[in-house]
Amino acid sequence: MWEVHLDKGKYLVSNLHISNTSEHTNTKKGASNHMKKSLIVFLMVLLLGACSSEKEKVIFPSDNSSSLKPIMQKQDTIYGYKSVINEEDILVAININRFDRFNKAKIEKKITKQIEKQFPEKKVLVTGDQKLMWEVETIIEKKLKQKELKKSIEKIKLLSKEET
Amino acid sequence: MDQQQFQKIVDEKNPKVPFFMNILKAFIVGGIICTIGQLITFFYMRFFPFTEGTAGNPTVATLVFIAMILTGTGLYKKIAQIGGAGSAVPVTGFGNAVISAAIEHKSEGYVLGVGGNMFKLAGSVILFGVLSAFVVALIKTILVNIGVVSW
Amino acid sequence: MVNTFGTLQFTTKICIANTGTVVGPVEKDSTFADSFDEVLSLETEKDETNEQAHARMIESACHWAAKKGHTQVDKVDVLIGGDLINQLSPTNFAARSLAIPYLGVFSACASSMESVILGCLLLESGNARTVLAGASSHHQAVERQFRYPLEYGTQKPKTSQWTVTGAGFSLLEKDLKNTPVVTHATIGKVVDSQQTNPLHMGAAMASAARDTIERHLTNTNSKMADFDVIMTGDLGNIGISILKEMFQDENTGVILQDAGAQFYGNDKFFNAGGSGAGCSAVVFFGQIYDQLKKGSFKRVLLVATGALLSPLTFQQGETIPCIAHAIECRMEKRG
Repeated sequence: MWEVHLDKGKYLVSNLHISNTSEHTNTKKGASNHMKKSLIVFLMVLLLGACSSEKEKVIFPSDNSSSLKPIMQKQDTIYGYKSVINEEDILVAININRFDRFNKAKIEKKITKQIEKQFPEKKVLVTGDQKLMWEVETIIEKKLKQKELKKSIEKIKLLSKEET
Repeated sequence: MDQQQFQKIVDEKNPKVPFFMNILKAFIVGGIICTIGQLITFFYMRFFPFTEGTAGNPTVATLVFIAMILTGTGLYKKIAQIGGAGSAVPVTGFGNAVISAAIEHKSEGYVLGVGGNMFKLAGSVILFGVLSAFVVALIKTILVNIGVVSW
Repeated sequence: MVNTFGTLQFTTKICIANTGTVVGPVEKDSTFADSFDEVLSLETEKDETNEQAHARMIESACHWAAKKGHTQVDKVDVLIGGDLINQLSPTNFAARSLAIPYLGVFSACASSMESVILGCLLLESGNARTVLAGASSHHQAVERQFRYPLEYGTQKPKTSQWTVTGAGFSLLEKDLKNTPVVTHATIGKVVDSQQTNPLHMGAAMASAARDTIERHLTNTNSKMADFDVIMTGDLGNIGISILKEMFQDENTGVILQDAGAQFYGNDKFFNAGGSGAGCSAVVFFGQIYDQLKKGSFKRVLLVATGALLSPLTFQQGETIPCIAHAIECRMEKRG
């Protein structure tokens, strides 16, 4: 009677035993395997997170008046800046330190005020926006002059005014 | 057998919840989704006239679109089984909640079925999101008016 | 003592003439796959709703049971069926097509045995000649009603179960030869063991199963060892281990088994195993019935377990009361 039971009903019997043992191995061996895997992944994540890059400090065209540079040097919340100076405008795109990014608007306003004090006759725009930084870099790379320079600066000023 | 004895057996037999692995998996899955979101933001900033401030909108729209594709093809729930909260918290999780409910209720028609049930799961998110934003803004206003913090 | 405290003894010879089982595509890889009469290729066809597919499956299973029992559905006296969907809609709509006298019953996943018990009573009292009794469930339809939309991304815990898409119906008739006979039955009692987790129904249902099994053994003056197998419907991996622990002092060995725990084999995707009114139905009327007919099993106790919660009671903070109905089947010696 039991042979027949085991034969067709082997699914019923053997299945039961299989599921019992696999539960055990899953918890014990599986636990240590899991620990190793998770540790490796965690370390990799830490490592990659430590990567960083350098940024330059450029003023374009060359700094004639040489009063913009000291203002920018004084700032301790930024690690880089690129600026474009025209007859009428001063455009500064800044790279703000990681944690100071929470106060982006305040920092922009502070630097704007300081520059405006030095250059009362020019229109000043200070921005921490990455897109505008790229635009300023394009101007510097292409070495735009006169009309194109003015057009680009106007474009950047328009972009900075955009709201959601 | 009294209730206490029974409860003891139940607690004994219950499988242990692997908290650390779950947390790690949620972190990785959530991180990957957010990294993809950041890449999408850079894409929009690079090729379109979006600034950092305005690129958030098309990014969210794109992510919800991706969530829609994944939900419709049945892939999102597989990601969710691995990632848990890592897939539910980002906006893709919100999209999945709304889209899955919409798909489910199509058989009851568009107005009462889809329209009436679409926010079944996401409704609480919207309600409590708006409520907490209001409360936080209220607290900040009070603190500013007292003079503790400034705008 | 029999015929007291819910244990019934049938004095006439009530036979399970034959059975019909229809399952969905996911169940094709089930441990019990070769005992099913029909495996659907799609859970739901393109132009029908889940509930319509569910009703179609019930009709199909009834036709199979009748055909294998050498009769036709319209010659059967009474249809008794149940499912998990609100207002028993799928079974109602199937009964509409089958067009025979119909009683709809609900005891969640214990509906299959409740139907059979009522069928046996109709035959015992001589008020019917043949009865179709069974139950069914459909994965998509149940998930939608009790849990979340199908495509919603939740992380299912290891204690959760997968609702089986399946319909199992039996044709009951009196005084046949060489067929399994329903000799006793025990009507379940609602037992609440203060469990609140709807994703861990095994723990909630174990107490109800224990109460029914104990009452049956006591009232029929038998021990577990007298049976070839005592099979519960859908306690799941963890539920059955809890039940075995509760019967610790008895040597349960391989006698105490669970259909849901074995339904999908070792596939971790299904977590704690299969569940649903269809789970107990298709396994009891499929594999177990075949084994009885072959003579591999001579005496079995089939205990279908059900959790009597609703999405509302759970949200209102109620615990999960459960019930388990049982029938005892014996295979007479080949005559």
